[in-house]
Amino acid sequence: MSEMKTVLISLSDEQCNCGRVDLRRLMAKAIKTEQLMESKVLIEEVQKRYNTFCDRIEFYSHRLLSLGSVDSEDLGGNYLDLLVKIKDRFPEESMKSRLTANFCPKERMAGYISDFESLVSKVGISEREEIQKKLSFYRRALSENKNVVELLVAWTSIREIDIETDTSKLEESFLSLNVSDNMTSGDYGGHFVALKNQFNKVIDLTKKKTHAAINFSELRHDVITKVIREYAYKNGTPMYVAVTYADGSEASPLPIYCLRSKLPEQMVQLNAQPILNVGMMSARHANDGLDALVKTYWYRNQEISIGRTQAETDDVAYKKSKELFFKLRSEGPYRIAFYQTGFQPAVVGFYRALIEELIERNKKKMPADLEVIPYFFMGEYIKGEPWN
Amino acid sequence: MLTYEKIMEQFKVFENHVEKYDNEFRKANILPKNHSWRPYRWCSRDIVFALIVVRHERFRNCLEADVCLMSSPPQYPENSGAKVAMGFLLSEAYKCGTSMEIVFSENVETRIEDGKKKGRVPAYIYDLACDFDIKLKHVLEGHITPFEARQIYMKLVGFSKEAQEKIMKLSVDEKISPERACFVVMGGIWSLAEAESIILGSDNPESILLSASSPEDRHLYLRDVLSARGAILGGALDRKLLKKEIVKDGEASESEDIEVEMDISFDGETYAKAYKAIDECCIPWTAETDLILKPEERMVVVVRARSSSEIIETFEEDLICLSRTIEKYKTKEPTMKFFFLVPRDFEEIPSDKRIEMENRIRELGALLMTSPESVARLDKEAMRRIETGRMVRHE
Repeated sequence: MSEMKTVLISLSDEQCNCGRVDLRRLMAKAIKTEQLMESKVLIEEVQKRYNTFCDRIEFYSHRLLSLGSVDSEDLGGNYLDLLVKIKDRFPEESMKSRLTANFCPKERMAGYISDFESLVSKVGISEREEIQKKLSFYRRALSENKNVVELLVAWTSIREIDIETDTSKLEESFLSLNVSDNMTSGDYGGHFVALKNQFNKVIDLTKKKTHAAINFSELRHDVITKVIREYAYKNGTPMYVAVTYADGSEASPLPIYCLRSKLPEQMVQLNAQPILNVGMMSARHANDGLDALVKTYWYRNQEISIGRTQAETDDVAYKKSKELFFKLRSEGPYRIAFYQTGFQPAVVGFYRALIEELIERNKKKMPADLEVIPYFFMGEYIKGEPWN
Repeated sequence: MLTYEKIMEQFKVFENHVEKYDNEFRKANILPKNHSWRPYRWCSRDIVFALIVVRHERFRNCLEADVCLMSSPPQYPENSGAKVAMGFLLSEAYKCGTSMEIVFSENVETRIEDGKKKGRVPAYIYDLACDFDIKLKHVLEGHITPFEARQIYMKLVGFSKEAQEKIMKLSVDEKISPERACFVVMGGIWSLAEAESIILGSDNPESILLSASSPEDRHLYLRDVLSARGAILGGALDRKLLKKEIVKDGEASESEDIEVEMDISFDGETYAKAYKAIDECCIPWTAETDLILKPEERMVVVVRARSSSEIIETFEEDLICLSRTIEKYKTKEPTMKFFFLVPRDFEEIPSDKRIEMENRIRELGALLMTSPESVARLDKEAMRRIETGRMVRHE
């Protein structure tokens, strides 16, 4: 297998000036773009811009390297693996210290060196040859008031491929890999398992103070509701888990392990109340007769479905729900049949607000005065577990 | 073989679905959801290979087929209809996020048992599984289990033995699911040869196939883009070689659907592609315009998708690699032809340097091959593919 090696080059401000292009200006622009990427707004456009800046920095740096006019250091083919190791262990710090960036302007050099030293020592790889080489190269660049660019060079030396001698053993392990199988297990696979796995992993990482978020995009709304309910009512120390969407936007965290099932005697009064049919969102599924079935809609479609990131939609849905739940408090007990029609960010926003509302109401230790029974649209409406 | 009546029964079901689909979606200008019944017809020119109606059955989380009619046209390879149908069913099952279980309804090759209509796994698909040496356990219940689906998918894609072993290893190490590796090929993100270059030629194939890195992590993203760049440059040569030239009324044009037959393999150790001609084909992109690869002849192409500066920077190392490649293959087959493939960026190098480089390559017994693709274009395409891969299911 061919190796991908990392080569460092250091450039004085004069060397950064490549005729019409000044690498220092490109670096400044790229750093500004990095800050924009953090907000995740119009992320694809910003990423494209960042790619262009980085590509130009690399292009001109390769040119300088090929002319042999700059100081360079070859870190070999294993450096990137070390980088991945650090990033996996300390994702937040790695991002803050720009660990995976391909350049470091001279103003940031001292800070970068100290962050890098701290990271490699925490991972326990400070003695590795590549790390030592990199640190001494950076220190030299700092003392010479230079900027550094890190270049990747592909297909350099030939690396022998590990040939699996006993392929039958590999085949055996492969054939015994677990698969979700309805024919034999009879339980729910796919989305349920995937979302529960996500929850478990994110909870685990959050407890270890590593940033991780649950991605609710592309999942069925009934699955989202059922799994959120399971974790909201599960025994455990209350905590929050971060939420993200496929467009890269990050929403407010979701409280879990924070609700307890009501005893039957706490439900007597509430069970005597009539049920109010509420549709999740107007102007959806009207042709399936939803307009006739419900008395009102929780959200107006116009307010929710407008062009913004999914996290923003989630936030609007959450705030709107908080407002409505607060209003309902003064109106007495409510039993709501909630006719749910999909749209993940609105569903997540609604249940985040509902959980917080139930936590608030439970603090008073009064008989239950709010119940939401979800009905999931799956061609027909299917009743879910009540939230109270 | 189905009887005329059985075929007509399924045609009727198909027609009903088409009519319903037309009214509910096409005429109303609405796109169907994954869980809506969707009819498909798979054809090449005027030959129908398969008629299929599917939906994502959300409660069982499987793919359900209500119609699955196939043909095996004699002018095409054996069981082509079943291959087309299974390729589609498995990719659709993956795309919809199912458990990969495929269920055939009671309308598929219906029989009456205990007074009840029952379906089954179609006979053509059963035959295909037998050809692959895979035993289907629930044929009469009309089920293909995820375990069986996984094995059929791997066979259907046609990975080389080495690539299959690497995928198995990656799956056992929980780095990538075999379904994902199959889907990136069957879903058209990477051609089979490109995927093999990635799987066998990159030390982090899972990151590329899963589109796991993002531009924010420039180093990791660039590592993926560079590997993808090499695969795409090799893929461009494959496509060029496979194109069949048709001469009509003295004018030459490239056929759109007939390809030259050729065996393509990939050597991950030297990052080179090996070609064995079955039909005669022209060797493109060299200074010698009339080079031909005759049937049974072989050639090896060392692929280096580098910019002009990178070519200069690494030329000595590349020559060592080329020389080792020649040594490795020449002993096995002295008539083998050798090439060194670079992108168009090579032409940006000053001409005296370029001539010197070409001569040194020639001295080793190889020829320079300059693709019309530039690094900028290859990178753009690599990023597009990585981005497309990000949009499809990850598991």
